[in-house]
Amino acid sequence: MQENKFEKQVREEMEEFRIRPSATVWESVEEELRRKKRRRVVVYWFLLAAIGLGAYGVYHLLAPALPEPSTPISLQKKQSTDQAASSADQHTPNRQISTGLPANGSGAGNKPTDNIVSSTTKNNIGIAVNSNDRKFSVQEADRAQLETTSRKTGKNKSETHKQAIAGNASGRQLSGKPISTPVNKNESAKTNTRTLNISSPVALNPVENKETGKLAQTEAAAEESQTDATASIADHDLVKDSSTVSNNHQDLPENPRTPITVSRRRIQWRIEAGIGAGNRMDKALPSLFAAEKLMDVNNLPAYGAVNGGIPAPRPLLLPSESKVSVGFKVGVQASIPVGRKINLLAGLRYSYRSDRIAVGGLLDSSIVAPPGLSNNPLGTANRAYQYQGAPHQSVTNSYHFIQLPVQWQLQLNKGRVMPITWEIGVTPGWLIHTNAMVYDTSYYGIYYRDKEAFSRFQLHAETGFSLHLGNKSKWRWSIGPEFNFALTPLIRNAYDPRQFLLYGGLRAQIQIPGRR
Amino acid sequence: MDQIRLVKECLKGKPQAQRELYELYADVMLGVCYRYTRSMRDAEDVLQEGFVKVFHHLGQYKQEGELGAWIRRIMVNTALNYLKRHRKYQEGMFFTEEYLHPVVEDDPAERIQGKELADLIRQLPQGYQVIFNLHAVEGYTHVEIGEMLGISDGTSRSQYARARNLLITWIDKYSAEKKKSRYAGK
Repeated sequence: MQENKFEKQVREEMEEFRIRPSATVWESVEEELRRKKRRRVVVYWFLLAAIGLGAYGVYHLLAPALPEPSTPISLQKKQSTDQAASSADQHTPNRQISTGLPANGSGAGNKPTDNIVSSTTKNNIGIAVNSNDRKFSVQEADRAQLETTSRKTGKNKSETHKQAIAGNASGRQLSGKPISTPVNKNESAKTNTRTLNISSPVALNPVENKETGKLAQTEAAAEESQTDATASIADHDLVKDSSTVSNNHQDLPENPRTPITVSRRRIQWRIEAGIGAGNRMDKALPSLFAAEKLMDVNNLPAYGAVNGGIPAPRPLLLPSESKVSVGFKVGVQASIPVGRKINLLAGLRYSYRSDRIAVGGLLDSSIVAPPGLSNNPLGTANRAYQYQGAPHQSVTNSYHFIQLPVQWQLQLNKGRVMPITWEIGVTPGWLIHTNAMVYDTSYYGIYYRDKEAFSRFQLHAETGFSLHLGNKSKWRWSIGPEFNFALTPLIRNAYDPRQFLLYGGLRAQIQIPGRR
Repeated sequence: MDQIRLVKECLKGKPQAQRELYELYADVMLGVCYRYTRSMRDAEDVLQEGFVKVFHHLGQYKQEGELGAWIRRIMVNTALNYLKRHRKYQEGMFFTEEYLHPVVEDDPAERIQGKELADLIRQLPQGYQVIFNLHAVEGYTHVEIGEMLGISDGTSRSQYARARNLLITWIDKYSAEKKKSRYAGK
């Protein structure tokens, strides 16, 4: 009774007991909250980057591949209308030459040119040609045509000149530098294409197109093609990248097509997979962050009755030894060449790690201990079940990560047939799920599950070697050992200091062949 | 702002609401932390750590019980973790007889103020202090305390009895001195 009175007095006094904290406490709390918020933002960016990288990877895999360097240019069909217009610009000299060519032919040779001029007018294509420019370019064209025709035909220069002037009486407007003039954008492609359709075949091989019938046929086809600007543009596109300007390539099968060189740096995509074994270590390898130990449970004073009278507490069960267990990973990786023997590797992967510990019997702690008893700030909410007592059963702690490995790859040997490379880098990752046990000194040493206790963001260091095979075949692949160790602890404030994951295994990669 | 709304605002991460919640409970909670620690600096450290946990885990507050009681429980657990974590408190956590005192009558002659009582509790050996706080103030049973601290309930019981006797002795002594000085003052 008296006891109750005393406790009641104490409780009453203590319930009313208040102390005003200093202002720095709130500032520290606020700073800590801000820091956690910042960390969350970083995590969101990290996830966003992972999603972006994944999306890019998927896009790259599904999108049509770029042509191989040796791919004939005739297969390239994708060009924009603007590019078509600008490329037509590049072929203006050809056009000028071709426009002049009908001069050495008969009236039939001039006819198509006249048609085009008239059709251009008929279609109200707004080509505002500066008269001075036109004159200048006509003169240039005359000169160029004069030189060309005299070379090809071997005729007297003055005679050829006369013929050319005569021929150009009707053909000037085509040679009149239409590209350099301000042109309605939508119609420029049409105009240029039309021009090219007519001029190019003649211009390319004037000697080969000596037959008037052939020329007429080509030009008649050109007239038809005026109605289909798109088709013309497509044809024009074929011409664009070629050094041998060939528009109507069906007419000129003998004309060789020069391959182009793709100078773009190629990203190679690889599927990677690895299998190995891992464990949890106590800072076995250099780590950036130390896991702060709540209590050095391995160095506690010996238990037992002290000075006789007081019953000794039960001995504390120390954290279980962590045993090696299986791990594996699978993901995609992009290899970007940054030097002759150096590649930058970046990817996205799922990684599984595990270790094994021995724990005691399962106990429903929500029955044994009412809420608020545990050292966990949330009481028994997170540890309704705990493993207590002498360890007699093995439990596998599993860790599931999404990781973004970034590595440098350096070729160690000189050969190209079987290159050996060394990879080193860091792997930021996100612990997406774990069933791992957390050790606590309460209840004489227990294990319980608490996902909240783990640091979600994990940074690992990674290194390994690869032997690359099949370099001459379509399917290139590589294999080699790799080692991975954690730089961040799984739990920062832990009674069990073994919080750093270590993994070693065999990794294989296969390069996704590009579409041809 | 009522408590439920305050919690909701805090969950949205509004700094003003967080400040308001802190202001509402900071004084009482520092009183709790003060009883478990040896210095005001340590008490404020525990308070800071406790409030960070409160805001971080506020989403798990079920709104069934009193918010103050929920925060208090977090503070107590944070304080216990703090004591375990810091070596200067660890030595006192192992219970010895060196502080044993004879049993005295447990009816303090004069009630003392909260701050004075808290200061006397803080002067108890660390092991006594924790058990006394947990049992006399927080209301945990000895079985619960034994499980929390990894000792038997018998140890908890005996330690509590010794802590209580020691405290009553000190209170008597303190009250007598206080009375004496008061008479001397008159």
